[in-house]
Amino acid sequence: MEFFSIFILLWNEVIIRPMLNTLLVLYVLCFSQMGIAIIAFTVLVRVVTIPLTVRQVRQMRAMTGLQPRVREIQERYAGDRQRISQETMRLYRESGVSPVGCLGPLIVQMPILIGLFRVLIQTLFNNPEDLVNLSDKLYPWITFVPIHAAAPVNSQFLWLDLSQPDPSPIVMPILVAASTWVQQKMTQMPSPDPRQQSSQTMMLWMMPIFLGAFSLGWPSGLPLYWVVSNIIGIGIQYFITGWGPLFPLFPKRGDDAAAAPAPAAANSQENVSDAGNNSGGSDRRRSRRAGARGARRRPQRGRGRNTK
Amino acid sequence: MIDNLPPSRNLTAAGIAAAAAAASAARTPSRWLLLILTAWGLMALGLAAACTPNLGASTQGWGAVAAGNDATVYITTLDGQLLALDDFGIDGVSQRARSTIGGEQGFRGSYNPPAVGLQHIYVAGIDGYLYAMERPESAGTVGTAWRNPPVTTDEIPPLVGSPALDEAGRIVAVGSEDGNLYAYSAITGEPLEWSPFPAGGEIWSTPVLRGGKAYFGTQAGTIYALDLNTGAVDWQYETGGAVVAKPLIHKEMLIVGSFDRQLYALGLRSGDVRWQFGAGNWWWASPIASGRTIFAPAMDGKVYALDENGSLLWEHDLGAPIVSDPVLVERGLAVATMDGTLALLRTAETASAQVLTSLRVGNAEIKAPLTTPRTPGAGGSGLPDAVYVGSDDGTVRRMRASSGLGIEWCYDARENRGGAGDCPAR
Repeated sequence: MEFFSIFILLWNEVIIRPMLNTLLVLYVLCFSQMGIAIIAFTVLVRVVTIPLTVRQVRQMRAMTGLQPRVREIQERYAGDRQRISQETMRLYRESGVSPVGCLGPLIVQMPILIGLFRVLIQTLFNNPEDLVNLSDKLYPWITFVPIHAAAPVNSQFLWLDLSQPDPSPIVMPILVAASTWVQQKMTQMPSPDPRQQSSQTMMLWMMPIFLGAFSLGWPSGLPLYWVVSNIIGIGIQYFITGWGPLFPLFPKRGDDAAAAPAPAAANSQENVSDAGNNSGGSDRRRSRRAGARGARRRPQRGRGRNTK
Repeated sequence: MIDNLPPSRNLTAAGIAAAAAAASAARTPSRWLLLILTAWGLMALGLAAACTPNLGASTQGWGAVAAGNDATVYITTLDGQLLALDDFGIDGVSQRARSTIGGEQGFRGSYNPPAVGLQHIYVAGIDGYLYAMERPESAGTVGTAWRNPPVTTDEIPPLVGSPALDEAGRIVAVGSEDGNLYAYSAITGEPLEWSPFPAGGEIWSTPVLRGGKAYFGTQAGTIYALDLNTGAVDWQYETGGAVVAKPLIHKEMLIVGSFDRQLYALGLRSGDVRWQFGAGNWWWASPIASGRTIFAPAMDGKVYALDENGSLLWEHDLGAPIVSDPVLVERGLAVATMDGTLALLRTAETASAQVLTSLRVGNAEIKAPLTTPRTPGAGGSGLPDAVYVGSDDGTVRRMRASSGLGIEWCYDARENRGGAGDCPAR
């Protein structure tokens, strides 16, 4: 109970209140347009978390690039799980890749995402119950912008009442689903493991479908945040990795360089080709790209370092 | 195992997929799986936090709210009923009549007490209708005299403020979230010729009808003085924030607080600003006057005592926001904080606040306005010696305020039972 109370206190004071007050400051600065405030807020949050996002994307790519060598270790030490674990960790360490580095930023960003949901819900709904609870979350010392006078907020934006589901009712759900699909497609990495490939493919389609379906009933402020956040995410992803698997025919310059640490791609040609044989045309395209990458690198460098 | 994880609804699903790849590759499932489960747990927490609570559909009012009239207490309940209770003071309480109003769905509760008229009880429902219920003279079911709007329509905006009656009890007015003030004949329910009046902002404020005028505020921040005969605007004043409090008329001044944290005293006839006073948070509760002192509770948790020029006499921090309208009783000022504490403060002119006593009432928040019996107490001041307190859990208590604070009776509207002393724990 004690722990729970402390958690709630920290949650409110560290996550909810700063975000909520920032959103209301933006609302006042954006001429009492909540839609614009949400967009500005999303941009702000994404800008603040750019270092984490970039790190996460790079770690993901690096991790995926190492998969052929991990698989090689697994084959070499089949049956000796402890040795596989040791060798895999050594490979990650020597390649400067931290598996936690992939998940760490994710965990750091998670409270921000969850907090955003709560903040949007608390500020958008203008029934007396929610408004009463909003009052003690406002910072009394913010006097340079009249945030106290801002509530209850004007939730009209374009054709949307941001506290109600999209009246159209499909525009926002379609935007949510499409932007989620595009972002996921861009982050999808070719995998030598057919099981993982299948998992990724499932994620690629299921997530947009679920999110689109959920957003049919969401207050449209949340889909708006989601779409803007996805668009920014797509932009960040483009600048880091290019269009990736989204437009495989038009890779961005430097796409290859960012793909993975140099040693990782040594064996990718044969491994990815294996996976491609199992999973259709899109994987074949990926295998061609991976093959091209592999051909330009020094295949023996990475392998030799870890071969005993 | 990792492949069996459900699809995420989060932007970071790709990160999880990569982590899954790492786990799969490392063959050290315990460590990575722990991390992945942590991430999923956080996401689940997020979904619960984000989606479970009221996504805009949880309006149900502020528990039982009561209005007293002689020895009868009228309660609107969370499940959409109007109860008439016989108030026996220290001897307890019993239900005389009840009615489910608003059809099978009920009127879904209300935020503020009903108005008790000569012939009818007026209930402003969250369903958007104003109900005029017959006054129950005997046991049984209370009938509906009229309802406005008379025809059933699809979702109409809720009525948040109480209905208000003029001094003669002939006109009843109520503000709506649709931005209109509606005024009807209290007897027949016929709308006045000019009704509705478009106020240009959602109305949560309970209007005050006095001297042929209606005074009320809007969420757009405007305070109106409206002529009840013609519907013409006598004057209007723009504050810097939403006005949801019920105005107080005191010595040719209209005193009302705003979300801009200012309490305004406006000339009753002209609307000019006599003075204004700033607090640390919104003004939601109505101010109240005793003699030459104005007591104004704010959502910063403080009760401010001001003189007629708006000068601060004293302030007292009760420690929690105050939403509920205070009342005057024989011994002083009764104020309830949102966290469920009822405090009794001395109203005599003193240099500092004096809290006579305070008591935690029940286990729920108190946001509904406090009300009192109409019968004066034995002290000779003409003020009552008891307070009705409605809590968010659907209980109503009659609190003795003559010698300290004590619970005389409690009625649990959800369990539909009550009696002398406090309600039994659920």
